[in-house]
Amino acid sequence: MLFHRENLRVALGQFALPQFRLRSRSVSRPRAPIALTATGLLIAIAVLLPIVYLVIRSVGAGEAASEMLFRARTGAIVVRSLVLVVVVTAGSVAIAVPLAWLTTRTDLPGRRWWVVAAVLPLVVPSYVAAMVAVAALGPRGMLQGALDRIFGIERLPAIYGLPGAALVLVLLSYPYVFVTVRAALRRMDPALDEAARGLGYGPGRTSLKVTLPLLRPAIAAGALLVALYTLSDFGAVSLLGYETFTWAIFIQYETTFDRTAASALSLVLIAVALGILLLDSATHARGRYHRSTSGAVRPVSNLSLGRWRWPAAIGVGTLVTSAVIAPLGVLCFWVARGASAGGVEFPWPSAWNSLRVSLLAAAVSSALALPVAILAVRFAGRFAAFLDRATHMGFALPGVVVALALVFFGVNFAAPLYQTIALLVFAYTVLFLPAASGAIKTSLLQVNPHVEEAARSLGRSEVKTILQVTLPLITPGILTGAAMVFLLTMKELPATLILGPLGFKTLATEVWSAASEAFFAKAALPAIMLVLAAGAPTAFLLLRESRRASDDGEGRSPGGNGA
Amino acid sequence: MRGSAATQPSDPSIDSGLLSMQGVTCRYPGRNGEAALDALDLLVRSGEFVSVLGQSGSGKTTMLRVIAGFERVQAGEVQVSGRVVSSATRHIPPEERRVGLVFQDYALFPHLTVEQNVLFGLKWVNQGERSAAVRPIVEMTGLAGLAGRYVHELSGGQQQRVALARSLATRPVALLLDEPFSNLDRQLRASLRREVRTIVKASATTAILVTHDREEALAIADRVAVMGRGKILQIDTPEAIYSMPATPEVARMVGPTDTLPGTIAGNLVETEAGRFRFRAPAGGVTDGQRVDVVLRAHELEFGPGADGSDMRVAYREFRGEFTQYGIILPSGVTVRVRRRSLAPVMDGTRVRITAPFDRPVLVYPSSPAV
Repeated sequence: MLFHRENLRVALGQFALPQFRLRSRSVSRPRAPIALTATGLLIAIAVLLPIVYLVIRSVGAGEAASEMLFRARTGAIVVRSLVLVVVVTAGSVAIAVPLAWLTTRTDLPGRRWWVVAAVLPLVVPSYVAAMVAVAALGPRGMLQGALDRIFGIERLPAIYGLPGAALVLVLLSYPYVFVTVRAALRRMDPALDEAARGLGYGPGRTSLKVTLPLLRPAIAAGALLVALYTLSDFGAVSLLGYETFTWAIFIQYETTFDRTAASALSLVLIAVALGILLLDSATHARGRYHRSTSGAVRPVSNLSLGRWRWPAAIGVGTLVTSAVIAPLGVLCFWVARGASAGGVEFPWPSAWNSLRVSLLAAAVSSALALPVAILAVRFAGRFAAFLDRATHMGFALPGVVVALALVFFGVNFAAPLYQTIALLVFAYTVLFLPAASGAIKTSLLQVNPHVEEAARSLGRSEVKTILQVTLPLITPGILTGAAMVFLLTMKELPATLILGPLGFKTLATEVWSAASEAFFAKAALPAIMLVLAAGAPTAFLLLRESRRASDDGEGRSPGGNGA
Repeated sequence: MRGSAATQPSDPSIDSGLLSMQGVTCRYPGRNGEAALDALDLLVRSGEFVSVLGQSGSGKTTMLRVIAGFERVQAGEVQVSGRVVSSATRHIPPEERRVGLVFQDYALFPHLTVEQNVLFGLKWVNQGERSAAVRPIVEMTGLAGLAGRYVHELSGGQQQRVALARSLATRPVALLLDEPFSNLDRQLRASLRREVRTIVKASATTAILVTHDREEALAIADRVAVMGRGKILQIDTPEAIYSMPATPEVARMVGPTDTLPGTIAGNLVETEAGRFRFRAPAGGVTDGQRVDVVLRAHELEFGPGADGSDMRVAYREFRGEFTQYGIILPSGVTVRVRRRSLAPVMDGTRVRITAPFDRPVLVYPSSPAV
């Protein structure tokens, strides 16, 4: 999810906005106001403290922890998690790369429509998708029922375990690769393709020998997101009974209250996540893949698919149907069935709780992200870089781990906060701060620093300049970031399960607990509400981005002329 | 070139200069001790319009940013109206300097209208009087009909005017213009240049304009400061700079030149291209001395050469009102000569270079061979 929004906007065509980094011209780097630096430091400490505490505690547990680590069961968990990560990542790449190519470089019918549809699985929480999979494909599920009636088939291949978890997670996470690869395809210098054609390569060979190799960094970036997403997923693996780290940690915590074991497992999970990150940075250290020319990107002429046009459309349609339309249909079916079977109570309190914590998380994250983003963009330096990385921890860390760290920390150091909404909102903030700061940074990079200097020259102090000039200019970025945090919080499950006050229910926990007991009718209504609630901000983002993209031609860039 | 060239500072008081820089040094942190400004001295008098001419990397933008307060200095002192605003130990923040800066990219506030942009700096005027306070400037800059527009609805020239009006509205002690015309097309540039000078002069504001365009630097200013390697190489009226450039480097920056080695022979200088009368802006030439001779294409002419002449036309470029010829000398060096576009002289024609009306060429003591 690291670069998710930037890539999203690029994928949708809004790629040519000017970006202002610190000018190389600038002789002395401006010093950040002390208040800003101090705030940044506090945020970094707050974000890092629980994790550092978790590490210290597990290491301190010594023998007990190491005994736990070297148990055969731990080994099995590691293997299962890695197998899932590899399968899901490979599957996502296999689906997303052709899809991205078809929607950017060919005359596939209805391309624009497919692009938006193909991104939509991003709003479906994994536990909802898993529940749909069980309800539709599980034993005594809808598919088996239908086949039984027609063909008398009584057994389907098992949906539980690896196949189900992989299927669900591939269909949910391929958009990460799709979005990054599509962005790269749109950004790619068309002259490279044209040069290959000029050297006698046919369109097919050009795609294979020039385009695909150039996409490697984008594929790697998308694959990294998928791998981290899979590793930290809790909803799908818990409902489909595939015991990976997150599920094992949760079981340890819930059933035995054996915190040492849970934290030792968390530590291994962190190590695996870091390993994936390192692997990623090792792969794209070499080579340059940037556009060699500046200026606006010329559109590449589209490859005609010829008689493959409609088969390709059917393939894409099947994918979108199974990832988006069918799950929605299944949910609607169960809502209808629940309604006819005596009515399902509308989960008002859970909806209210979801809304409440999501709004709080959005507000707190945006407020904390603002100083982080300003420091990172305007006062780039060692401290700003450290702060930026520290606040990105949440994206690499699974929700289970962050929640567990906060439980330990809360119980031992902040007892009054333990089991409060405040601590829960703080967990969301740790997890989703990068989404907010990323959005703000993106819009801040489009504000010409000369505009701020002009305000200084016209008599405004540093603080007033930020309030009167910078903030109004980055308001869209702040709102976008807040919308993303809202969306992510709505979907969040494990941290809510672990940190929520006793009896605290959200739509997410409602769906999960009903689904884990196979009360699909009861789970369907909150699930649909969640998908719609998460879908609304996404639709807002997608619509705004694509509208902006079409405005792009007018050269309406913030900050006057981009020099 | 310009009608009112003789503008000298009208205020003859003991003016130590409205703006002064003494020994100002400003270093890039990264590059090994290379200074963007190297012990730079500059004195600008009240009401004066000074242009700073320099190539990219000469430190001219850094100089403006130092004056405006966006860069700190490591040594030396900057004074504005007699107050030290920058030194190694003192740094007055930009907002307290009352120095207006017009950016190359204008840096207008995109979230404000034209009027709000212009009013932005007038925080001390109360609400009721604000529009009245800027009306003269808005009218002077020709923005009267555009007050309600947003910045992106304006043309480049209009944006330039808004940027100027915004800075002038605050009645700055000095106005700094950083390559203000470089984003405009050529034709607009010349007319806006005249307009900016008129506006600045009418508001009696002291101005420093930085540019890499020699025509612009010479045309707009009362005095021109030529800058190179973080120093002011020469500062004088445009006419004086042009006729007596202090060094070959300055000569190169105020007009296209070719340089040849030569030897002083009495009141003439002898070169491969011929014998010419000379003037020596840097002085210090004696009979028989080896010198660098700086030739300007439009100060030379050529005529038919004798059959034995070893200078030939190497190339010809028709440029409309004149034609530029490249004359190749025996040593292989090419000297450019500009002629009125009459009958073209064909490539390979043997010629002889002359200086019409015995116009003196520029000579400088030879720089020691490196």
